[in-house]
Amino acid sequence: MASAGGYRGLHNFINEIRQCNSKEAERARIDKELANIRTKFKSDRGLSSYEKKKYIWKLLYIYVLGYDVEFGHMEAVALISSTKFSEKQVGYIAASVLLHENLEFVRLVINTMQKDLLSRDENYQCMALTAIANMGGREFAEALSGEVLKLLISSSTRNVVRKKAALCVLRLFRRNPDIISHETFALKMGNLLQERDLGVLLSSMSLLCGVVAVDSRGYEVVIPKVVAVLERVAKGIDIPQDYTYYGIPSPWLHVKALRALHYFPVIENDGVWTKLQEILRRTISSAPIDKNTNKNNALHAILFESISLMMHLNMDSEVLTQCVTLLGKFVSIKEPNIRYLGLENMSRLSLVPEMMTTIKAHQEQIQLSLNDPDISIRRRALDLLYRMCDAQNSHEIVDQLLSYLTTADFAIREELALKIAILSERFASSLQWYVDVIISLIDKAGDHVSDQVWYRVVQIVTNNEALQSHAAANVLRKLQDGSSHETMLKLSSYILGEFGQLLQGSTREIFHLLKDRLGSATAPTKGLILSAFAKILVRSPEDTEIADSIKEIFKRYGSIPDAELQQRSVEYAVLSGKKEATEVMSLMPKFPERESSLVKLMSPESNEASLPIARGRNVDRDAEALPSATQSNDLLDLDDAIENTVPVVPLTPEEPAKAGQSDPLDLLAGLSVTEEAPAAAPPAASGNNAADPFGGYSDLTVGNSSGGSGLTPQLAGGSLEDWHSKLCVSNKGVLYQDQYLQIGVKADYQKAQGRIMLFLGNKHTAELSNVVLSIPPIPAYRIQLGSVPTSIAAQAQVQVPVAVSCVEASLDAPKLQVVYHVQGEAAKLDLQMPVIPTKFFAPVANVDTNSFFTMWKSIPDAPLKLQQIAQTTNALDMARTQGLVSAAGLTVAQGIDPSPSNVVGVGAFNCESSGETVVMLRLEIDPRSYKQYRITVASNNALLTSSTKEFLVKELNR
Amino acid sequence: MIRCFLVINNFGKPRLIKFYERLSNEERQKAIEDAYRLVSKRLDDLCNFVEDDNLFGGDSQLIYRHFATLYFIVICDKAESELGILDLIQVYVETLDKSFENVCELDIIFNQQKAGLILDQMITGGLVLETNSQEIVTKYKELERSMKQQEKESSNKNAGGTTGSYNKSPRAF
Repeated sequence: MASAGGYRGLHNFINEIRQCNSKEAERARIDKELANIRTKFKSDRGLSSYEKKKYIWKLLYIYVLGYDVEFGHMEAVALISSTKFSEKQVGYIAASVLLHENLEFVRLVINTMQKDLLSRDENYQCMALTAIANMGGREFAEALSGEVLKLLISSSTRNVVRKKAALCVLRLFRRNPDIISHETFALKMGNLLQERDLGVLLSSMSLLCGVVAVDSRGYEVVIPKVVAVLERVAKGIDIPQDYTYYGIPSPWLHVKALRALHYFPVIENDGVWTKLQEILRRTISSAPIDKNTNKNNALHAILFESISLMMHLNMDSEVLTQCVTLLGKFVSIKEPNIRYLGLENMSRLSLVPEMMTTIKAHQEQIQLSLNDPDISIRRRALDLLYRMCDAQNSHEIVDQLLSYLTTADFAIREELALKIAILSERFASSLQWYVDVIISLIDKAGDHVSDQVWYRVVQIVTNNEALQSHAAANVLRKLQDGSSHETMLKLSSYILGEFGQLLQGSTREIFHLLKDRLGSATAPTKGLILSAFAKILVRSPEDTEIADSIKEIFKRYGSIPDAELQQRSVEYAVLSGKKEATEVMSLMPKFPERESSLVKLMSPESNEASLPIARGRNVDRDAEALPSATQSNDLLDLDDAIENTVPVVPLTPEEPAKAGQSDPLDLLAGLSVTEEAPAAAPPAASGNNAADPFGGYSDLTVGNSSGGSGLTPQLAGGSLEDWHSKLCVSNKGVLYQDQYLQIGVKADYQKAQGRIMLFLGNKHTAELSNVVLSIPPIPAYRIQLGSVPTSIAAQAQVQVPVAVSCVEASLDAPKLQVVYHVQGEAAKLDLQMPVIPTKFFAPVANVDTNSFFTMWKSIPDAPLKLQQIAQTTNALDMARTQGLVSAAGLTVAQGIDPSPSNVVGVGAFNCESSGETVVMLRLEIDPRSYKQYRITVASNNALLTSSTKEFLVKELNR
Repeated sequence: MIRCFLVINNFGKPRLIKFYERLSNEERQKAIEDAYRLVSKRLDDLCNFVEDDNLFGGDSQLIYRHFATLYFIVICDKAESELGILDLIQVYVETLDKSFENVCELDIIFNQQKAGLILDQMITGGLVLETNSQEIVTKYKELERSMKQQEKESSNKNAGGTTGSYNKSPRAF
């Protein structure tokens, strides 16, 4: 059988590779071949067409095997320009693989592509379209979108070309949304959707989905056409046999059409709406389960998409109930794909509050899925259980999750532990239940429970006498059962030290259980155990045997190298002999009641549910220390709040007053206050409304006849600083938002140039008039602001392009001043553009150790090389740190620093005054805590070094 | 949008790779390794979907089918219908089967060009282009004819030589 496309050399080569027994042998064979091809390409003797193609195929084979093929671009380009079909074909295939980043060659190719798009041969047109769509570069969007759009719309284009053109337009649109204009394209889109050919329809529908996903406004005219397509496939009208899949009219088109409708908020036309409802109802009422898996899959693809759309369009709850019942059936079905999707869709439906009762009917079945052999299904089940948890079923679900914790995959334990912590706090019916849950949680998954959680337990138990002996008995039982996790041990030492005497006759056992674990505990835990011993010693002096053992331990620890433990032991030993001891060692005073940070994080959605904890019966509640929590942070940032692990017990008799201050719970509450401050009060703030950055301009509203409710923009959904700092590491996001105006940013940087698109959206029901944007010039950047429309109609969005060139590195960032008027009243904003030197970093490929160190050494100390030691609150594990470093624009260089906890990064900064400057970063992270680190940044430009360092420190400490 | 289409054998060797996003070689290799790591430990009677937070920078889903010695893997964003992609893989395999007659791994190894061109008829720029298996085969044959015709015209000496062949395992999927 002829193979390898008829190339004998290629065939032999593949055979040889296949015979290699080891990776090394394969590597050697490939290196040899690469060398051979390189020589061949370079030789003066021209290669025959056959040879050229053969070598390109070989390169492509090598590429698939995972080797980096870095040459052959020129040959690929030459082949594309060939007039021979077969050469061109090979050229295009090679180009889409090889030409990824090489701009120079891309420019060479663009010319040929343009010609091919205009060719009368549809094969040529198709090849060019496929290559453009697969490569999808920005350069293509600029140079070729006109031709591609013409092919899409022109009546003379054949279907085979048109469908490719549709996908090509979408690809280019994603690169550059400006290639189509909203006003005119909607009508063209409508025409495309009237096409009879199902292939063209599918592509057009994909294009529509892609376009309306960005912004559906203006495209409402196509809705009736989409519904017509939907009707055609749903009812099987005029569907060629070839376009059925196991008897079902193109399920892909059906699904895409449903998906397209998903992007419209409402369907206004009553006739169309009725028709759509009828189609959707038919789909869910006729959901059969077929024996053929493929047919079954296709039917369910349509069904799930229909359910999702029904939910989006808010169909009546009777229909949605029907959906849940259907999904309930799927959840218990044997076929794993359907079970998986059943759970996933039920999760989505759980967002509709009225659906809860129906969903809860399936709780048992969902819980069973937690033990499914398939991790994908277990994850879905976990997610759904979390979402459906409420005050009524919380005990059952939390118990279920706790018992699942022991067997759960390591990969999801952390998430599981967090979910348990949140649910138990949010739905705590009694403090005792909450404490029991958390103790079990720490016992089973101590690694995944932050210190904050056990501090919380200590606080609750201390403040509630009724709980004290219960909690002590509970942790004692855990120790008896052999629990010895560090966190569990800390909690037990504290609770048993404080309340152990409430358990009559257990002192001896408590002592021995803790003593057994003393030797292997970490230093901070040892400290807590020693404190527990001191309390036992003072409170139960009658048991001389234990007293002697404890004194013996203090003596031993009084001479160990750890200064903290040594001091503690010596002081406890001395203290125990004095008469003040009983006083010092009496029960800890109650903690001032604080709102739990967990609850605080959750508060926007769970104020009522968290009551049991927030309404503790304590009197000395310090209301001022508790600003109402308004921001909803990422739940996973729980750790943020704690700065240091501080021992919870009073250390020495001399400083009992300090005990309260070093209480970590205090720290916690204190921190949340400081956290609040920068978030809500930008520098410009004045007046009593701290969230109003425009205080200085509020006098403009005085003349307003409607009274005090004049123009006071209120920041919505974030703070200036938050938005700005997010944009510093991302090229897309919100820069500013108040109740009238939203400013979005989309940016793209290439070397020293940046192109920023500002999206000004009017959220108000009236026009924003006299809009003025200005960017005061600063020396570090050359900035050109595009034209700004003077007014923005209600609910409309305008785009303002900004071109930035980096002239030199600088610590200054350009400012953006915005003025707008609502009904004659002005608002003036002073914003920071997210333009900082790291935006002009280009990635650096292949950093080798030698050149890195040569350069590193060649850079002298400050100000070119700067170093700083700092602490973060969030552990800098490898993944997070590398993520932060690359988000800052630096390429993480592997294998340069021998220590595994360190990170080395390199970036090439580009600016107009000095071209490219290499910036190097070394981060040494303390492998014990992962919190302390030393950062060193080096480059040949002092400003660059310091701005990069400042930025990174800020990011790392976030 | 489909981010990549991978065919990887049971031992983790890639047989066909197609990325629809610009990635560096390292990123590509990582995606291939991750995908293989995720699917290879799964038994055949589990569902065809895998989630992993680290896959392809998150917000991605992996959908795969396992036939005999090969895994056919699609990594796409969450805007694609899971089952739709599963069906698409089925169409691809059926189309290969039509074009190769009982397709097996060796066919793909020695005819990557063909397998790739067929895929290009189905997926373009990360989106489903055509799902009509017959249309895809016809289109491919047309392409092949045009290529051969010119090959003959150029009457290259080398092309005339005997080409090798491989022994197909009788087991197809």
